[in-house]
Amino acid sequence: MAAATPRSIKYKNIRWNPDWCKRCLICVEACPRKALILKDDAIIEVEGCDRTGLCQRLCPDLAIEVIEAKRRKRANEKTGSG
Amino acid sequence: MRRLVQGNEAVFLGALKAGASFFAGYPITPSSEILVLAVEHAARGPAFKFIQSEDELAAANAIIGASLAGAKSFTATSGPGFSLMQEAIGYGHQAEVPTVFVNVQRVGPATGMPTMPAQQDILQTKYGSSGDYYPLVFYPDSVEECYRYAVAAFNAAEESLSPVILLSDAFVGHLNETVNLDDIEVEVVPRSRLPLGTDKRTFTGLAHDEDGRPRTADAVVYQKWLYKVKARHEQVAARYSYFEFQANASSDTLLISYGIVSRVTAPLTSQFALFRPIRILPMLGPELRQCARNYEKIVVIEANDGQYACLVECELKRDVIRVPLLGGRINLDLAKKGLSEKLEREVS
Amino acid sequence: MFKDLLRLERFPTTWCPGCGIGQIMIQLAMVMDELGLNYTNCVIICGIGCTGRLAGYMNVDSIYTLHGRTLPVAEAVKLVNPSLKVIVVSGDGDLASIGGNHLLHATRRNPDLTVLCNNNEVYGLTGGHAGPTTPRDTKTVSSPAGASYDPLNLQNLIKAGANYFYAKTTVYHQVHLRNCLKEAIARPGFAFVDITSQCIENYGRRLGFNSAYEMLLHFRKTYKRAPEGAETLEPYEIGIVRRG
Repeated sequence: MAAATPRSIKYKNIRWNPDWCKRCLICVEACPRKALILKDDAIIEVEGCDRTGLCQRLCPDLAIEVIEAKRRKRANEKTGSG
Repeated sequence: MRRLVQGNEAVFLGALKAGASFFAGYPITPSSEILVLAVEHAARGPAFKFIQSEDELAAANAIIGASLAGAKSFTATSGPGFSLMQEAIGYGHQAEVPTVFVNVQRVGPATGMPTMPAQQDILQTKYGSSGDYYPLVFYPDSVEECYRYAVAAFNAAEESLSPVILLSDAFVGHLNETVNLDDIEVEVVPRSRLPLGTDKRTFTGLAHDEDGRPRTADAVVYQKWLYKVKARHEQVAARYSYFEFQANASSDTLLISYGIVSRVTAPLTSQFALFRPIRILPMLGPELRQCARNYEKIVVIEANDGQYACLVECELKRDVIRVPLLGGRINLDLAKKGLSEKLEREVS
Repeated sequence: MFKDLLRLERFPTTWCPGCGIGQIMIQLAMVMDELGLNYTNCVIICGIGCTGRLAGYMNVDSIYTLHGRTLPVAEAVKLVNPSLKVIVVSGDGDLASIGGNHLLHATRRNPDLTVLCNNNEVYGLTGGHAGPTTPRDTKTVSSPAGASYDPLNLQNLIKAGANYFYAKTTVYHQVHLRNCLKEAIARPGFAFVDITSQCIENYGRRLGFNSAYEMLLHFRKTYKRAPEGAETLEPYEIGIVRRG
């Protein structure tokens, strides 16, 4: 099963580490906004994340974290979105 | 000062001379004197630490922890306790921990004869723990030697980074002889590895690589490690090749004995060549081969059913005659009787 | 930064997807960071079992002992160098079954140690065998007809000592867990922190849990805070009881 490369996935609010992630799905199931899904062996951020941070807090592997605000701003500037 | 010293006491004093500062143990005849000396010494000042452990498993593991924390550590026990300690001894070899286990042997197996001397743990020192390992083992035969070889045991432990066994027995441990220990010159090998709390190392009983990282599926790494340890132990052992040999041009028989049995057979020097190993393991292969060269017969007389004899046979690839002294009765008459029977001639 | 206490270069960790031990390690690292504990003043001693692998992921001197022998090793380390904080991290089987006698005597000798007991009610590493804290009638690999015995009462065992510190918490209740750890580490004596955590792969899934998160929800639902000042924790209560 080929691992999805992070470069090809857009994240707005989170950073996901495909090497450390074990696909245990705690983050997916725990997210109160249902903003994370597992697709093609990758954790994908879909619409609705409002940065509760539960994914980061519950992940046993430090594989997912909510990106700091200024980094998010930088990421937005890079992709050109507002 | 020249005074009466007990064998077990001499072991303790030798440990102190070598710089030991931690003892954990469990009372067991005939080694308990060492434990009591340790608790008395600990009461004299904070530098020496003592734990009377809840069992030998705890004692054996405590001295491992103490050693890693920076102390020269040791324990003292007898056969049944020694059996309980085997896993920890294996751990000491796997994790490369310098420490000393004193075994004042008594008749076994199991609870056996608590107050009777024996030499029945020889093979246990070699094979008692699981896995392949290459222990250094010393066995004194006098109070002075208890002191000397206790120091040697600690030194060999530091150099080999392994648990060294100091054997004794219920008689040697309880011998009282006049000695002047102050007159005995010994060198002490200092601790080389930094103690816990100074680095980011893992000490583990798992097979591991140079960084202490568990490598539980790599045969190449394991073999490299095992042969490295084996070579190190052989190199260290070569610096501790202690034995005694008295040739006898008029005899065709080499008599091998050690520990208390060698004290008893000493008068037989007129009838036999005598070889006494003090370093029991690794086997004194080249030395034995050299000394046994000119003798047609080899006899091992020991207080067990042929344990060292077995090792001699394996090492020299020669037949060895066995004279066992079992059940705690060890005296010259019995030795002569046994020799006469096995050699089929009168030994008087 | 608590991540400095972790050997991230060795990630991903060896634990199963969803295993609770990773979270225990993260919480411990956070507390150590907050308290200023690092490789110059702290040693971690781990036992055998999945929990034991924790030692290899932390940036301090550590000892990965024989099965059941963390307490004798830890007590000796502390005795030789009292300036070190000695933290034991082990599992329920390692501490309370094969290590049971040492636990008993720790309640008596009261050595200054902090013990984190990863209590997942099973011997996970060997495949899911019943352990000393497996509840009665639970089906495991070595209790196919249901566990025949009641589990050990760890709280009562720890309370056998004249002075004691017993904390019960779960890996879900992270803030509570960190508070238990902080108080346990600060206590000059034997402090036992009993942490319920999830073994989904070799225990939970056989009990009917579909995921690790379901087990975490179960901990959230089942465990309640003990009332303030309680001297005994009832079953499924989280809190701390102490004397002295």
